Amino acid sequence: MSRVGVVRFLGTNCDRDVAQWAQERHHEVEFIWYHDKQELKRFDYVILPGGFSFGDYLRSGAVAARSPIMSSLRDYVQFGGSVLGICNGFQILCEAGLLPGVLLKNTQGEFIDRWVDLEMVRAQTRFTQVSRTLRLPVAHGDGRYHADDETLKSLQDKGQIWLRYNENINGSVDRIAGICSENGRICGLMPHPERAIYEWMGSKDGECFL
Amino acid sequence: MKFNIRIMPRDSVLDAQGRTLEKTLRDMGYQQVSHIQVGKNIQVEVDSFDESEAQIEVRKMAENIFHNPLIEKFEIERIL
Repeated sequence: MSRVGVVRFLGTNCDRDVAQWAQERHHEVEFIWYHDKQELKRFDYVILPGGFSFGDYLRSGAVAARSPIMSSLRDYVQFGGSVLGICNGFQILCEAGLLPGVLLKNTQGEFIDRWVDLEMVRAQTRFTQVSRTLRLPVAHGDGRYHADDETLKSLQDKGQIWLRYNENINGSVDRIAGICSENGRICGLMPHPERAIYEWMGSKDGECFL
Repeated sequence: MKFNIRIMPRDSVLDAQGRTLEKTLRDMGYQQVSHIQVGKNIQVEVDSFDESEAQIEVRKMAENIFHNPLIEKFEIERIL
């Protein structure tokens, strides 16, 4: 049984959904408070769930990225730990420099809440194994992935583009919906796989993760 | 000592807020507007008697949290 740490920041709101998703996989979930610096080695992986940490003040994820738990997370990652950032969690990973690039306001300037079709560009990561197309919900105002040309080329060359939108819904470069570290242990995506785990939700493609 | 940190989006990055405002202003009848950019202004008071030392501290704050170098640039100005 895997042991999962789910980090709660002020303003995180997908923590319980994420926990249920992991529990469906028979993973044992422990919530972690953002202010408690701690050893994270007991976890098989850590999730930074979605939400609006610190009210999205300054920039999405910027404040959370500098909170005490993030220095613990840096140590954890250095020792080979795995981290999955979903939506605001992805923004936090980018702001913390654990993943390259940044997420900006959607081009159309509107919050998007809808289903999207995605292409899994890289199948082999710590959180996915199978390459296929996916249908997942998105709900974000700041989901436009941005990286300079050099970073983008490096992502492409090193196989770090994890997921792409079939249709570019928010103006992301190269239709990027998710990226990962070169070794596939740090992954971030804007869509919410935890909101698609039963057929009645509209899709159960969230099953392809964890 | 009080400082102003003015943060503006880089020209290379699409400023969705600026563009939205531009569109709205045109709808309001301001046809002559263009190139609107939306930034931020942060004021910080630093307890120090040494201006250059305080400037260095404020610069560090700007570099470490106030701005994201991938998308923004900043300027510091002492105001008090």
